[in-house]
Amino acid sequence: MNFRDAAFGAPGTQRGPGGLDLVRLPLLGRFLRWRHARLAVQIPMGLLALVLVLHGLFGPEVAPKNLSTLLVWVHWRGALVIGLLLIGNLFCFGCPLLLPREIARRVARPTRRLPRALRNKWTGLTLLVGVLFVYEWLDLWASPFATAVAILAYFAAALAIDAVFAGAPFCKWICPIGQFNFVSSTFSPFEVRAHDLEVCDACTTKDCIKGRRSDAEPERIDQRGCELALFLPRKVGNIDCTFCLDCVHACPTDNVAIASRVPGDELAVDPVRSGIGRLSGRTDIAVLVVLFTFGALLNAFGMVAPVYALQSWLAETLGTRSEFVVLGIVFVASLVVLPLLALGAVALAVRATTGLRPRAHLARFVPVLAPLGFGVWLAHYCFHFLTGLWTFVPVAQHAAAGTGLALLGRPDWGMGGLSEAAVWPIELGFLALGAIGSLGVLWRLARRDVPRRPFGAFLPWAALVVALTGAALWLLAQPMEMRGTYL
Amino acid sequence: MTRAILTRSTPRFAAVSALALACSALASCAPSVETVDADVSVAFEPAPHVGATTVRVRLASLDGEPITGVDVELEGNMNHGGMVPVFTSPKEVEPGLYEGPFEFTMGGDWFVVVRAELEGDRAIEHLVEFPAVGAPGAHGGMDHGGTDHGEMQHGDTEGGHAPSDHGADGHHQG
Repeated sequence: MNFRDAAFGAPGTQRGPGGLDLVRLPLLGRFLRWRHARLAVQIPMGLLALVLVLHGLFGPEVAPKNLSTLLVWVHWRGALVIGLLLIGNLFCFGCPLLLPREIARRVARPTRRLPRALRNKWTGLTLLVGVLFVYEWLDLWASPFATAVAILAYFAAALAIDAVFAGAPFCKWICPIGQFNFVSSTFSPFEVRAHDLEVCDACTTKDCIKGRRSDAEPERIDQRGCELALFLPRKVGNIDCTFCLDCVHACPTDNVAIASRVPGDELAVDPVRSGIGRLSGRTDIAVLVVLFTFGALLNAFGMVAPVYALQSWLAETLGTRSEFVVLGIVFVASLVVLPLLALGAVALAVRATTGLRPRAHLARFVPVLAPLGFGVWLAHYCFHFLTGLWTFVPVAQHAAAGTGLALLGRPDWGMGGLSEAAVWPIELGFLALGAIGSLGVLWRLARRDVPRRPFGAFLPWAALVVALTGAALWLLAQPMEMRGTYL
Repeated sequence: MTRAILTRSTPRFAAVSALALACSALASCAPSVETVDADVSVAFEPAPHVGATTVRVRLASLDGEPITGVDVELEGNMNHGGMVPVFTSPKEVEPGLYEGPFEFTMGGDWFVVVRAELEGDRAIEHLVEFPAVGAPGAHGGMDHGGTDHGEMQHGDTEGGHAPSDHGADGHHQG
């Protein structure tokens, strides 16, 4: 079976040439094909990270006047999800965390592979929950010092893992931001894929995965192939793709596209994906999507008044003032008990109407929640990003003045962003986009997987999507009341 | 050979130099005005809530003498980034007591920084926390008292958290 035949087993993906291809745009395409394009973005990002760490450690102790807390928790998170919405996994493309490992690998190139038991998403999703928990527990948004330490810890972890193990194990299996981005990017409008699968059929070197070797020294790899084990002709969608563009630079026939597509399309099909396998066979990815979706609601819940009433009630009932204990209970209830109950009810309803076995159909259908989860993250993060859009200007002016370099002028503390009233319709639009995306993918999946009784599969899941959307709507409608000192 | 070594070393040297420069620049940002201790209390009427209030700042020297006739500025902000701070310049209504309008624009954890310029390049700068500011009439689960930080910058002479004052106002005797 050639690659085109294989691709026909995955309708909606790998359709060959057509649509917009960023690699073939006049100026942008030339930049993307440039071998050092990623490095050219990573270096400024790395310098920015350095500034954030220094300001976090040595700058003002109060969060709203520190670049570390402001740019990380307000601007970076907003820019991250907007990039995912408009293009794709742009943060991973420009991720500065990989710079130290690139330097380290010039000294010693690791050959060991990450232990097989860790080559899955369990570690990454556990760390994702851990990051969400620590964010609430230690009030990271309110602590420049802790934020700077978190950045440093992130760099250290990326370096330690990728300096010891070959490939890109940190990106693929460990990095919680990466796992967040992989799930989010299933709803992105662009994906890296083969431009023409017939060209791949005729390819004998497979440089996109193996790397391009030097003509003079065949043992030496001039341009590495995909470190995340995504063989381009069989790559489906954006999961595990960091937009590193190694395949773009390695392909000797310039046959790699960053092509437009229907967002969420990849969730409605279940072919064998290179480097991943079938989604329906990946319980770890299904759990990741569940945590991503319910975590979006939990993270938004953490900034509204009702959560403080709940936490106070819990603390009083349990007779504790330990925020760790109270938050732990809220997290377990939100990320374990509630999803189990909701998905259990859906699975039983689908079983009653279609006869599908719960376990098999859950793994197949759970990914439809990803667009809704992304919509909630998008609405939440864009609220902070847009209402505080220009606040980085006076903080940067203040930081510059603090170093004795008043180049940026006196801080103009009046600079804010859009009003909450102006942002509200945008939040609603993002939430609706996610909900419609989930329902659209769900309907396609139900028709495809349960052709005789599509409504039997569709309706219970649609009820869950609508219920979660309603919960998100209620959360977003609450006045923001961010606190960190209730206990 | 020497040329090659220089070429390879230059970016590294430049990076290390830039880092050292940035560190020293940030670490050396000492205030040009001397910050002095004082007895500072901040109170809101009505108690802090989202919306308009009146702020009263009482300034006294450590021996209890009211500090009069100074320009006082009060900056309100929250414990997270992304919002516009609230500024007000309370006017002296009686010796050592300064009063002005103040609006809490959002619910959550607030702090206010009181600044007053004194004669001789000296100044008072105190940070007082007002956590759990909620909707009018709502109670966030803890007293609306001020918790004094005393100062804002790492490396200043005053340090750390002072004991909380869970009364109706934030108060600090430095």
